[in-house]
Amino acid sequence: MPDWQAVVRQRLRAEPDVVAELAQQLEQAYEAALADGLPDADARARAEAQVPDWPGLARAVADARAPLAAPVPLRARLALAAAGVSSDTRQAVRGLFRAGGFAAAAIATLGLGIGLCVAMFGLANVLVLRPLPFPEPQRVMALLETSRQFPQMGVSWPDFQDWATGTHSFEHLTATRGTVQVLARAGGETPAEMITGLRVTSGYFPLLGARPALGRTILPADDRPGAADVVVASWSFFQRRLGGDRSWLGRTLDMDGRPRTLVGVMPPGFPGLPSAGSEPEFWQPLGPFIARNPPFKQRSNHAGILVLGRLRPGVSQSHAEQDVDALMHSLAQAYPATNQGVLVAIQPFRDLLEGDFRQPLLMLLAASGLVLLIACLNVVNLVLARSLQREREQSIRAALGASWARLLRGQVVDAFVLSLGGAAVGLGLAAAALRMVTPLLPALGLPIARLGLSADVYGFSAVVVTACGLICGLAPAALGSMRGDPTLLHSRTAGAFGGGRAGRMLVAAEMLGSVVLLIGSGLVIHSLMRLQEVRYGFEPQGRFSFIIGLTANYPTGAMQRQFFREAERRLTDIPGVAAAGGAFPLPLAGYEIEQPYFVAGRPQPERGREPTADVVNLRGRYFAAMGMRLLAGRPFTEHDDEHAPDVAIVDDTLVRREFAHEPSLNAVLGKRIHLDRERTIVGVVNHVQDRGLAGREAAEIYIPQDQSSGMLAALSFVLQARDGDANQLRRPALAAINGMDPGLAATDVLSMAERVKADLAPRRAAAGLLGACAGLALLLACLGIYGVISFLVARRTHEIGIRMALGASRGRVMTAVLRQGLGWAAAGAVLGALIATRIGPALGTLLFGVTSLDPLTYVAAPTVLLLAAALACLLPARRATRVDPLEALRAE
Amino acid sequence: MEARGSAEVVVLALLDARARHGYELAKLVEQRSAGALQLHAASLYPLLYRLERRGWVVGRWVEKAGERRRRYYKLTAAGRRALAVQRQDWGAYLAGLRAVILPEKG
Repeated sequence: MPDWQAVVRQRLRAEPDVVAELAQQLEQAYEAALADGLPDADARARAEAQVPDWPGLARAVADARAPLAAPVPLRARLALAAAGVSSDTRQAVRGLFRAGGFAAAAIATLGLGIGLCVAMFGLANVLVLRPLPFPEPQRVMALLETSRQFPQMGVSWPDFQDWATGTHSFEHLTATRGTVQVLARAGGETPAEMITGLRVTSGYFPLLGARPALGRTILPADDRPGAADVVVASWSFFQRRLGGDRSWLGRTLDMDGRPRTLVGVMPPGFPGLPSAGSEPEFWQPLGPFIARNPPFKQRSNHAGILVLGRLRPGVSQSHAEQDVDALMHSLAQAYPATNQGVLVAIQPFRDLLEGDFRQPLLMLLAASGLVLLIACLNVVNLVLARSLQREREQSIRAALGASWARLLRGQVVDAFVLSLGGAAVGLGLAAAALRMVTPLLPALGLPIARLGLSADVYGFSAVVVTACGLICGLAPAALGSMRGDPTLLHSRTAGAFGGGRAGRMLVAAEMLGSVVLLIGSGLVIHSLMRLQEVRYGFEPQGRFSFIIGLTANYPTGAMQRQFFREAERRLTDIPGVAAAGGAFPLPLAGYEIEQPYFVAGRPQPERGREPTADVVNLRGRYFAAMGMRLLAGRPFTEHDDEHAPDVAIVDDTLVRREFAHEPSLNAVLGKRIHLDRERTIVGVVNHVQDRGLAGREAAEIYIPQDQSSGMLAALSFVLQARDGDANQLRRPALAAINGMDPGLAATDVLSMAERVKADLAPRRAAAGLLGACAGLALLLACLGIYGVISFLVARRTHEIGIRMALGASRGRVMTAVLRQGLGWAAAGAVLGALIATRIGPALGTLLFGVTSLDPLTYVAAPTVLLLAAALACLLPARRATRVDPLEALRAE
Repeated sequence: MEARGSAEVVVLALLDARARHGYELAKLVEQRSAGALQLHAASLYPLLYRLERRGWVVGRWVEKAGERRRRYYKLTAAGRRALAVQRQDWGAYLAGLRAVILPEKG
């Protein structure tokens, strides 16, 4: 008899235990064969046939006995897992190719959701999410002044100077003031043009941590009264206007009629702040400008100065507020006439820059996220339906020894492959969308920015893909396990929707998300409708306008008046002009001159508590040119000049506020109103929404430009075309101005219709984008509901057949199916509406004339959605009732 | 036929009744399946070791009077639970199998 121990030991390198056990097995087989009567050699062969492949057995044993939490090196385990995942991935790709329809539907759905979400992120990231382009932006604060009358005022220059010396919270403090200047012919034959820039104190550049690309910035020596005039150019201005020629450094430019030495050029991209207006093209020192313009030295003058401050390290915003508040308090005691009730308003610079569009953009980003979530739910639904078809495959894999975790990994890898496919589609869509949106930004009321697929966007996409992969990979398993079967993945219940409950929960969740989106966009769209009902108070069609700013070549008020008087005469004489008139500021210009007033003869209100109105300087036949209605009295004439008695025309809003007790509008004529000085009211016109439809409603007082004590250097002209076609007038009008002085430039040339359109554009854009999100969500939700219901109906074919065989009417079956789908949809809709009541107020500035609980929207949105859901249920329901009972029964 | 998955259930089921040694298991599988399913040493022992590592069975050397020293395998509590789950699965699996084998109607 052979020594089986020796035989095995010789062929199998394994522990003695294993060798002994195997030797025993062979020995018993050998003995059994002998007992069967086989000769020794045959018995030996039969025993040895037990192990056809010794090396294979050695590997199998080693593998089987390797401890589970073994000291397998981490790297080896990772490599193993990676190999597993990569084989899963190959398998997933093959499987998805086979299931072409399923994969296409899932990838398209995810692609839409990811595309929308990524595009919104691309927009929001550039405009509000990414940090401002200078060091430690969170330490930079914007300082304005505020009073009971004027919630936001520019800082008065003397106050700023006191802050600079009397506070200790700021490392740098700088005053800035925007300016629009006429640049005379420079750099060849380019004509004169209006360019925008900033006047700043010397702290501006160190505060932003900026260095010049060429030359120097503005130094304290430049900022003193009487210093030589210097200018620093932006990179784009230097390239565009001076051809990038360095020899311009040290030479002079004629700006607003003053020669200025170009001392430096800032690098490209500076300052790169999000601003709805244009970026500054140049910087000039503010100090000498103030010195030349004595009104700025008055404490009462809050004309357009914005102060920026960089907090010292470790100093908080509230600490800085206390610091400046204390100073303002002592200023109020020292100068009660001008500073009583004047406080400081400090906010992070970022909030000031992004105030208008931060919230809507974040809202839109959230909305797109919700759409993506709905898309994911649809894919979860598809995966659940598919897992029923794959039940067999999964069973076999389980039977082959695939563990629960292994199968789950397979599902997650499937989902990741789908998400990556969706991301490929989505990134393509997002890139196209961002390319399309970029040129529209100014029209949407957003800052100009370059949009595209940046590194940030790719990073965000990676996060989104991971989230989608996890949701679509894990949610089906979680939903499938709701029946409490731990082996769900390879059990029958995986595809059975936990008896339909999981599917219905998906329906409810999709409805919930869609209702929230639909209500949100409904509120904004309803606001837009209300906005369009509001009248501007002037006729936008057939009119166009432009602004002229005079240069230092018109130093006196008399010269300025003379120029505009002549300009008005020449414009009126152009053939085809029905009426021409000038105003400053023009409605919808984006700025207004708000001043306190009181009615003469009544007790004078306490200082700081007077009512206010927007004051407009007029010239020529402005009311006619704008299509406004004179309700009483007379318009201004050329006789209302500086030598005539001071007059004013008020609007009906002011009349209602101040003269409500008067029997008629005519009774208001002849009353006297105290503005800059006492003026007699000679006319009443209709109210104009000069701050835009969404702006604060303000009363208006008009005064003749010839009787104005300031604001003479700029005037906007409005021309009404006789035949309604304002475009024809542009060329002759601009030629008329050029003929008077080629050194002047008319800018902001727009038809009144274009101004009205621009006023509504941001809301229209927000409504459009939110509406698109809601529409997409609605579409996806309907597809999802259709998918779930038709699947449930298909599963119930047999049951429905029996019911119908037992005499259930078609109507009853229809009702049952509809109830099954709509019941949960309705629950989701109600819950969604409840959630929307919490979210609605966050729409804030996007709402106009509707409350965040607008009943119309709250009824309409869920109704639309439930109707759509009913439609999605109807098709499967109809199919259910067409089931031939015999067919259904045979399908058993 | 996927020997590993089915063999696993079969072995667990055989051990459910009482502890057995390897040779006995091999013989029993052959008898029970009327020779249709053969469990050679080459696949039986790796399988047993795997079950042991999973904690579903535990093997012990036992010396009985008049017999040689053998390694007996016994089902653990975890093994019993796993068997219960797998039996269910196998119910499902066999149902699926029947659906594949039996011709469709219509």
